[in-house]
Amino acid sequence: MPSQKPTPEAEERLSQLLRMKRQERPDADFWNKFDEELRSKQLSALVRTQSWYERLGKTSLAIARRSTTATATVSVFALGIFAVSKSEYFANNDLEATQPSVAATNEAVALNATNAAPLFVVEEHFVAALEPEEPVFIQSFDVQPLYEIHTLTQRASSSNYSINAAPKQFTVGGQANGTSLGAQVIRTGNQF
Amino acid sequence: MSFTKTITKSLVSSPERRLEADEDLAIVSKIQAGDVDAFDTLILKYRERVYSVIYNLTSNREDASDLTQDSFIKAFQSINRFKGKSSFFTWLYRIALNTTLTHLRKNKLRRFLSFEKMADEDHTAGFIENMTTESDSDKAALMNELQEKLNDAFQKLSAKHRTVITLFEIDGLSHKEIAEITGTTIGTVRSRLHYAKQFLQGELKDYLR
Repeated sequence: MPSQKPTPEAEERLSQLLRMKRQERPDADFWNKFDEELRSKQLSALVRTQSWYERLGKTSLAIARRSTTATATVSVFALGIFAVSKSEYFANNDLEATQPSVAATNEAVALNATNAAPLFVVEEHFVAALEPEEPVFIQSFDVQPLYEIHTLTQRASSSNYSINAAPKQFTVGGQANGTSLGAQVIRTGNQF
Repeated sequence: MSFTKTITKSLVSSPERRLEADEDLAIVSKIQAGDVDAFDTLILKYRERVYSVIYNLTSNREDASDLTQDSFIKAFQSINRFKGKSSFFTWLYRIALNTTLTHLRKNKLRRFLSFEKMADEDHTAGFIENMTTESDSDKAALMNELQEKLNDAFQKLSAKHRTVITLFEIDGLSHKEIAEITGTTIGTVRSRLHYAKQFLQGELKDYLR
């Protein structure tokens, strides 16, 4: 930055020169246009309406500012409930309280009473109400009677769930009609 | 109202300025009471001065025009928040300066200068007369050259130095008023003024002999 020690004369000349800048003035046409534009801007400023999102934003901000403590408390409370509801502990306890014997398994298998082999499997997450019915006798055209398990229904399930395993028909040698075959669920989905 | 008037009196130095401030305050009260048209009085009163300050800070007449309008619109929109803690004039100048400095920061790289025509007054003519004894056409050419050089030198100053020298030398404000507008001390204003003058003397030494 160039500099020069100011002398009184040079300083006076500079002041004179700077005062010349006062003469840099726009003409009347400029001011007419200026007034017109300013009037238009002023009117726009007067009638300007806020869009719905501006209003919503401002209202939310105002409410939040006025109730900061309440908002914070509610937020923490909501977050706590959410965290607890999503926790494994909560989910397991709930299941154990309602169906402790079946919650720990993923598949439901009905066992043949004679050989204890699984009859069918329910995939994980299926919701179904277990109705511990006896196998139903279907026909007896030949020596071996045919039975069908109708133990799984969707009675308690939401529409998101379905049972993939079709009812199994099976025969049991040497058993009489109406006799309990001792079918039991040994593994189920965790929603039971 | 008496409270704000007392404050204004303590901040405004000369009796003329005090009278002016009280008049402005009365107009502002009208506007705040709903008389929107009363704002026109303030526009007419201050538009040339505000424009001149902004023009000398930007050296661009279109920008200066827009920024002056924006400053008045901002003042108009915030008039209800004006409590009279300073004079209206100081408050308006602060708005204008902030608007302009924000614009200058955003447009740092833009260096398009455009000049107002100098009004052919005695002062200007006298200055040129002292510099040359040539013909009228030569004087006009010298005038243009001088104007260009002056504006160019002005633009080389930093915004804060340009502000101070504009308000002091061109707008004729006191150190105290400038300090109030720029939010600095009188000492800072003096120091910036001294520096700015020194710089301009160096830049314009050919014309100051």
